[in-house]
Amino acid sequence: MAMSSKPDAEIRQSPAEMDGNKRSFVTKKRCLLFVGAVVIVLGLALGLGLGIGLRNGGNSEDPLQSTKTPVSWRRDPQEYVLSSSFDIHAPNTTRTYTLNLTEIPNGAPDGVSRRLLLINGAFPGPAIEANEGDRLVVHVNNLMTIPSAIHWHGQYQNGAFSA
Amino acid sequence: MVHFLLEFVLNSGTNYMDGTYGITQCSIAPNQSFTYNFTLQQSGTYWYHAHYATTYQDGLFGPLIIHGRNEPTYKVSGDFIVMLHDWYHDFSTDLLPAFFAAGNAGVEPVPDNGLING
Repeated sequence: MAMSSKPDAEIRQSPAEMDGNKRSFVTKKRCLLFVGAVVIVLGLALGLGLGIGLRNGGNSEDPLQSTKTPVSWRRDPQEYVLSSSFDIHAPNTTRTYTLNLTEIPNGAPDGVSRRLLLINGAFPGPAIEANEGDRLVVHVNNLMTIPSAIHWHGQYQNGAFSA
Repeated sequence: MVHFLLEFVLNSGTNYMDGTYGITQCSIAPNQSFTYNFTLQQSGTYWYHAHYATTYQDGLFGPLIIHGRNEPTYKVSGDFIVMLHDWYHDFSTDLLPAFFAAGNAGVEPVPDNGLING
């Protein structure tokens, strides 16, 4: 009896006490797991957030509402909104434009990278707006590695031979 | 429809897709310039585009808006240009050999996408 008294004493705990110890151990483990999970989730969120954020140049604006150009070669959509201040009744005049043709190896209008040809550094080309009867003078500088020519689709060229 | 480029006359009715590759000589060589100078004799919503091979498919095009002399002034909140165009993921001239291959019967390469204003 005496020999077994010590173990007995050790074992002699109320069932509630035993349960409590076990519970606190399990709670500790759960707590650690929970903290670990939170750290991992926060880490992933931070990493992803930073990654996506930096990739978008830190621009968190709604792309549908934004009028800024997210990529340098993408023409500002605002350029295709005709200005109400353009005088469609103005006397005929000469309108002069310069078109610089360049190329980049990695344009991606729809997300797929490819060789892209640009006019004045952007795609598509700038809007040319004029009145019927105006003279159009367009300086085209071919800065690409391939030949080019600009065609004025559908335009009569009566009398333009002298050029 | 008559298509003239200033230094070269395209035949009456020549379609911009038809037969210009390797035939059209009206090119501005790399690092060269050319000035187009002509009077607009029509009005309407047009476009301009490169006429060397098929390079207009690769980005060289833009809107050409010519207001008519009798154009009414509409009360609108905005006047927007919308260009719908086919889009390929390959440089256009890379697609031509298959297009011109014997037995192809003129079937154009199927575009990879369709874009609005690029």
